[in-house]
Amino acid sequence: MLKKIGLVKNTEIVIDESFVKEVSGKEMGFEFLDKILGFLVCVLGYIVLFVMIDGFLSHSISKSSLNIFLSVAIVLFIYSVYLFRSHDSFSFGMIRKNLNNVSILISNSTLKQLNISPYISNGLLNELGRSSDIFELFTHLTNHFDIREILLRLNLDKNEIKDIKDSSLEIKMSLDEILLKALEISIYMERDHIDSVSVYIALLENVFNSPLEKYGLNQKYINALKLWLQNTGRLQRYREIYLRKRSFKPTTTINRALTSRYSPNLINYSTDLTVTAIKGNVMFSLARDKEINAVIENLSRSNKTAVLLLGEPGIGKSTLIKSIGIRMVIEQVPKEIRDMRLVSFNFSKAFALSKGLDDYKSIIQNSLEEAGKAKNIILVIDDFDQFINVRADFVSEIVGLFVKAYEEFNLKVIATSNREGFSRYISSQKALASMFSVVELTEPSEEVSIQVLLDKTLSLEKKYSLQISFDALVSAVKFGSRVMYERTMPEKGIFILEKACLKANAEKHKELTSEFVEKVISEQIGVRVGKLSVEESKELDDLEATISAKILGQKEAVMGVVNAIKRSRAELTSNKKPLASFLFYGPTGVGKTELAKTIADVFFSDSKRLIKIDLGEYQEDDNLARLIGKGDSSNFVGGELTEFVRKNPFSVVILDEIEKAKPRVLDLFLQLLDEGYLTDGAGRKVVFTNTIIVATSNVGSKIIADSIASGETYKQTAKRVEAELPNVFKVEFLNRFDKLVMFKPLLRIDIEEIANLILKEQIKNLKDKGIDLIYSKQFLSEISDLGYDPVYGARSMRRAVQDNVESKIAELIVSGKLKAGGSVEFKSLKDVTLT
Amino acid sequence: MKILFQNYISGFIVWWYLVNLVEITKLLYFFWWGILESLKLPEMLTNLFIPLYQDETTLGKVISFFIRLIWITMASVVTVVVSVFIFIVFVIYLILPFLPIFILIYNA
Repeated sequence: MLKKIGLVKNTEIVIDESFVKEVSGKEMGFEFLDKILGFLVCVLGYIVLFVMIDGFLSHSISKSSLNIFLSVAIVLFIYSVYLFRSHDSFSFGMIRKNLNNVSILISNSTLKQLNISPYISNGLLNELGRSSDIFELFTHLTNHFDIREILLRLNLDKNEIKDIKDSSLEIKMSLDEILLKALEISIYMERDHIDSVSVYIALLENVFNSPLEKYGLNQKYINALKLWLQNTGRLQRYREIYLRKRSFKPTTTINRALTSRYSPNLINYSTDLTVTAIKGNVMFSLARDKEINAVIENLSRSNKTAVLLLGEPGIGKSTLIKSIGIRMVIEQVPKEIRDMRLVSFNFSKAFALSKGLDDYKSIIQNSLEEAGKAKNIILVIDDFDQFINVRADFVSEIVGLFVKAYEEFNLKVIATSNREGFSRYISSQKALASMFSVVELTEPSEEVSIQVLLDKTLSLEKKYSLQISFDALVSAVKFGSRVMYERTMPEKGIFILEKACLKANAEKHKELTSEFVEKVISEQIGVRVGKLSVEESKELDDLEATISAKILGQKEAVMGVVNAIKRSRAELTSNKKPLASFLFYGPTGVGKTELAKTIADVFFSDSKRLIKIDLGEYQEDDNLARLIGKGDSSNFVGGELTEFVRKNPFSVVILDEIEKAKPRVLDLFLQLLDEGYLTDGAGRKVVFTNTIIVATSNVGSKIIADSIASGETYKQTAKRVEAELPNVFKVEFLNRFDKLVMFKPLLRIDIEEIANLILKEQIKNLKDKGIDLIYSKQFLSEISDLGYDPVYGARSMRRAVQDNVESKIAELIVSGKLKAGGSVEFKSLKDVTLT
Repeated sequence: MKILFQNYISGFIVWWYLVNLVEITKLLYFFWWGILESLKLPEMLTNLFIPLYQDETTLGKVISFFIRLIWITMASVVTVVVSVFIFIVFVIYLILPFLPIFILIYNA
């Protein structure tokens, strides 16, 4: 009795209910029983065979009896083969059909109806039979060996998962609906059958997703898991073809049809990547299928067969070329290039071994000629820009040799280069540039990077005896993409993952989790990333108090900054903009720069992660180059701002006196605040997404002083000044800041507190030398008067302490009047006594 | 009883002649294909008049033609022998379950 359970694409999906009811569960245990019986039958076969041989040798049995013994032995052996069979493909008198045979028909919507009963795996049928409800099915499946591996990948605990049965979860899906979802998942993952794995993923995705969220399960991980299972299956199939075909591939320089020529010169300066692929392992990524196909398509044409792979170092150019080598071995390429060799020409070796430029030139000429005449060579030239630019005065000659060989022999070439090399040396040579079809490798998306890392996971797990969870991969990609900008994904992700594996292995961990990867990244960059630890949460909670202890009299400003920092650390802000950006405005000497320094100290744990750009010094138009650098690669002078941030991506950038900046400079900062990066003079992208930008300005100082003096509140004053700010800055510029923070003039009590703070630093310093410093209230009041200036605020406070405290103590120490163990008391500015 | 019959009697016949037959056929096909690949017969046939190693001299062309011809002849013979052998193995597989019955009848 066929029952309709739904539609996949345009195919009506039905199930033979009576079959599932009849079969499921009844075969339970038969597989094990069959194996036992198979063993016994096989042993019996050997006994019969032994008796027969013994009888034959001793002539104790007749010829007809021998034949009977032989026939019984044959029957027993072939029956034991049947009993030992895999129940996945045949069980319970029914053939388990392979889903891959119909999945294309379903995808193309060319199949009208599909009965899924024969496509359900034997293992799943057993579980369907012994489970009374979906909860029970889920619990039974959780104990499966292959499911346990999946749970480990998802970093889920088997026992925690079982607990969800006790929760008040209402299941809204029927078993038929789950089977339909499992069918879709099986087709996507290219599974042979609708099996326990696909049903389990369907349950995780559609039924148990909400209760498992608290254990860290999310759709992104499930998608990555499905992709990984799909990749594993594909790689397995590739491996089978590879093992079958590689033994028929020639490992010499001559092709199978014996129509090619020897290349005795080229062989000295090259590596045969096809032979490497034949002798090595199947190690290739499925993540760049589109680009691989584009290269293969270009190479298979009859003309214009030079391809230029354009991409930054570490983006996967070499892996892509190796993957083409594997494709050639397993013959998944058009017949035009099937019987060819992929030969990588090592021009550095040729240059090193040459006896001079003329010799080098003749090596290049001979190698290109041999590659062309052999007719079975696809020439790979890595770093093509360097190949033609081995010496500046030699470029046109090398280009000439290459163009001539290409035109004469219709060479098939894969060249690689990066963007800078391409624009400087290749695109400027028109004859050369027009030869190439450019295939660009852009930095992969997070999903593709995860896929590349997934491809590496199996070998890393084997190498370091670890189980790598998905969230560890996700963390390596997510946080990796935000750090180490000098490297590119996916190489950067692989580097982080390997480093984490090495460390986890050394620390005898059995699993690699996201927390561990985040810890490794944090150690690498010196700044904490990832989930907030309990310790860090507490630190952030106390942030306001920590900063307020250093910045006095600016409670509202500190609060504004702290809130913005908390938002940023909780990852609620855009990750394509700086971590936080502030415009501090108000009178001078009230703590604007000091607050910026405190942010560097507190947020990046290092007050040296700070650059102060005094925009008063950038009044000329050509000063822009001082910020972002200028010149070409041979004489490039890095910009003060861009070089610092390139070297210290986690830092605070203070743009002092922003109101003095020229419009062109302001436009530069507008881009920085908007897009989170600047392009330096060498055309490199300098990313500011890990910086905190603090612009300071004295705009509105007078209004602030007058308003506060007339008794207006902080909010009222801020409102008045912010209404004035558009007269100085463009509105769109002001809107780019996360927070406009007003600093108010310091009160008398704040001034004394600042003086007290500086004097306490002195007490601490002198204590280390064994000297006590004591001061009176009168002295504090006098020094506060001295250090405070109505125009410059408390800026000269430190100078006042230096002149009136440090200098006097130094004098006393030098004259020998004050020694370790002694103390000095400042009763007033003029009354200093030794005690 | 029906389950036992399906699993141990009728199941065996279905498995031997439908499931395992496909596997055996695949195995024999790959073996046959492997021999053909090693003999490079298709490549030699399509390049019969193309000189070996691009030796374009008249002598080179003549020698190449004869070497390829000898190769094709030898490879064809080997292919036929292997094909016959594979066919025999295939037939033996088909009659193997009935072979004991023939033996018993013959000896009865």
